[in-house]
Amino acid sequence: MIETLYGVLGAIASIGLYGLVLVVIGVLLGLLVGVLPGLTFVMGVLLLVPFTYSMDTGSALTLMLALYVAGTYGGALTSILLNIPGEPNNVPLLWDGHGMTRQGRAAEALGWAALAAFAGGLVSWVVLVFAAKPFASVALQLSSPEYFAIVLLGFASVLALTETSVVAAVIAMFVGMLISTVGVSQVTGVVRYDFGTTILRDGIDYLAVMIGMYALGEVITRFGQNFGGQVAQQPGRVATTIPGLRAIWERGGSFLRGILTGSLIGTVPGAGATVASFVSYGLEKQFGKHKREVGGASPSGVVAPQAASTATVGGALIPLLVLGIPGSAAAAVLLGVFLLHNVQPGPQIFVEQPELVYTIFAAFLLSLIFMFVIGILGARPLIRVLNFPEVYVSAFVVLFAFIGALALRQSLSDVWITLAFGVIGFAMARSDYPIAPLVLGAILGPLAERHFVTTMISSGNDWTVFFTRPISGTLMVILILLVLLLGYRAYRTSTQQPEEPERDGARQTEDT
Amino acid sequence: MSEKAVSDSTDEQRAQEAGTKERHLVSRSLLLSLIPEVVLLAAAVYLFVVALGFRQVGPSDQIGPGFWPQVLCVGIGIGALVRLGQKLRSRERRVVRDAASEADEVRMSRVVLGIALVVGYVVGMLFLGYILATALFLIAFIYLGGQRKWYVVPLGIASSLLFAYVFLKVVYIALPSGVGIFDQLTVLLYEFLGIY
Repeated sequence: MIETLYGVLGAIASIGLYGLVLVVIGVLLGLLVGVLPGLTFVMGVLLLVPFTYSMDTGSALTLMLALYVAGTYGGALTSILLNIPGEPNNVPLLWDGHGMTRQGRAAEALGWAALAAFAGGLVSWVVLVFAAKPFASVALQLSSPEYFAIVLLGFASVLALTETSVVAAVIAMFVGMLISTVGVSQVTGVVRYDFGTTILRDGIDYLAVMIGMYALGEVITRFGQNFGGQVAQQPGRVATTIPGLRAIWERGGSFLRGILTGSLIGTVPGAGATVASFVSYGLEKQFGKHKREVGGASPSGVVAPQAASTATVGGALIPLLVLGIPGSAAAAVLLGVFLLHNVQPGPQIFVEQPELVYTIFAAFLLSLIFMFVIGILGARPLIRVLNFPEVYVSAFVVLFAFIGALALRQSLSDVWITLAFGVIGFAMARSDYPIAPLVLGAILGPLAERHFVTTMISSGNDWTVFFTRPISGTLMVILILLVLLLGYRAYRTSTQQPEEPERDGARQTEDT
Repeated sequence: MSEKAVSDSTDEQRAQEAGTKERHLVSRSLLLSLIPEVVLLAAAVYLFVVALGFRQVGPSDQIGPGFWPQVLCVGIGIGALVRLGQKLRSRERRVVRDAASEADEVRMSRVVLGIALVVGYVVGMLFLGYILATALFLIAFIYLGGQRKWYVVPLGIASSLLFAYVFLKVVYIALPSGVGIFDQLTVLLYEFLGIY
């Protein structure tokens, strides 16, 4: 623990002016992306990918992590002041945050949101820094059966937290996994599903899928809506009032619930800030000390979801660094950056490249500090950005999306793949199929196949090995219970009265 | 027949016609809603069959390259069948429009236009080169997106040149230069920008 602390402090001290500039740029971009409608912080992180090619791994991750952290908070400004959610995870802030604004308490609401984001991120940072290495030591003992069980559990957890039909989510996940089988098999070297084309023989990079579905799919939808929707009315005076210690103590339970929810949900692949934010709000309304006020203009209704949103960052980084399994969509992009720089995250990274790990820890902490300061000071100019017509933003999103795709393997094949998945993403949203499980399937599918096939080969096709090994056996039992729960939920949904499907719920933007 | 009786009879006729129209609407809506599942089922069957033909590597009792895709295809097929069943059982779906969603309504003609623009952009990159294709795309997208200001054209051109400079010179991404005369134009522009 002491060694970790020294490592982190050393990384902070040696980050240098270049590193600090990257953090500030990342935070500014994250806040901007959070404020702008039609842009999520997952898209922001994705669209930064091409800029990171010429950087070293540490700098690339610093920039993207700063955007990720700040992006979980940026949308709070528009939610509270203008009743427009800048990001999906900021929707709960509309109810109480904007409620407080209508009562003339906007400054107070902004203060609670800023503090909650900082506190949520800080606690999850502490958990990340001090828990990641011990988890990594345990992870070094794991083998293929355990990894397969963990990946399956990750899949099941995503399905359990889906807001849409479980069956639709399962189909989407399987489709994603099937997409990942295109190209050369990692295990056997056999070419699959290429249909004689070079484009498919090279395989389908999951980043191209993500860019297409999240960025391009959203642009197509917004173009189809003629960029209609709410028009922002500029608020009068924008100020932030940080609450006093007594008030903070009074809302301590809300902070704790939000932070715990966010940290835990952040570790689940495919469930990120949006899910954490809604779950936390729901818990606050059910169990909070001020539950009767929540839904009106209660600071608890701001604190819990915002703390949860930012806490997911630390939570998502734990499985990413320890197991190489991303805990969120944005973490999946970070995984892509690792791989593009030929670094495989996992337990061995703590042994082979500890300085990179400490750099990530340092970047996370500095991003939180700058997010807090710039978020408070920059609230007014950030809100003004909403005057900018969305069509310009969307046009440039397309440019960045194709550049990002082109830069993956310097091939136009990826541009075509991105385009195809942009159209598929749009079609999926219209058909009430969630995107997040598909993307997760595309990311984790190869891992699942590799560990499954390796286990079967080494055990002589003995499938019981998944249950006879203690850790994988325990995980498989949990998995079976979860699948039974999902099956029951799916059965209940199918026997209930049909409801009009919610288009926004099917597009779990950001969260994978 | 009294006027009231005639009026009542006409009202009844109208109500029947409205009911018939609504039933047709619901049936059409239901059929359209089944398309994704039918496509998924057909694709799952087709891809399963294709996977049967993957070359077996290693001993014959070892799991082959086709096993995993086949499992996934079976999963997709079963899922599609379940969704089909769910949708057919809930035949009384009604398409309800509420005022709040009108503003967010997606018009398919605009979606097709949007897709055509991005497809045109990619094709344009191949033949016209990145700089020209990007400028044309930006101008067309912003113009058709509703912003018909005088500065859209210079903005499109300037942005295209800036992007090309940044991504070629700073980020070192190889951008398409087009074919024939457009390739030559691209080289001239690169020289103008100081890239070559």
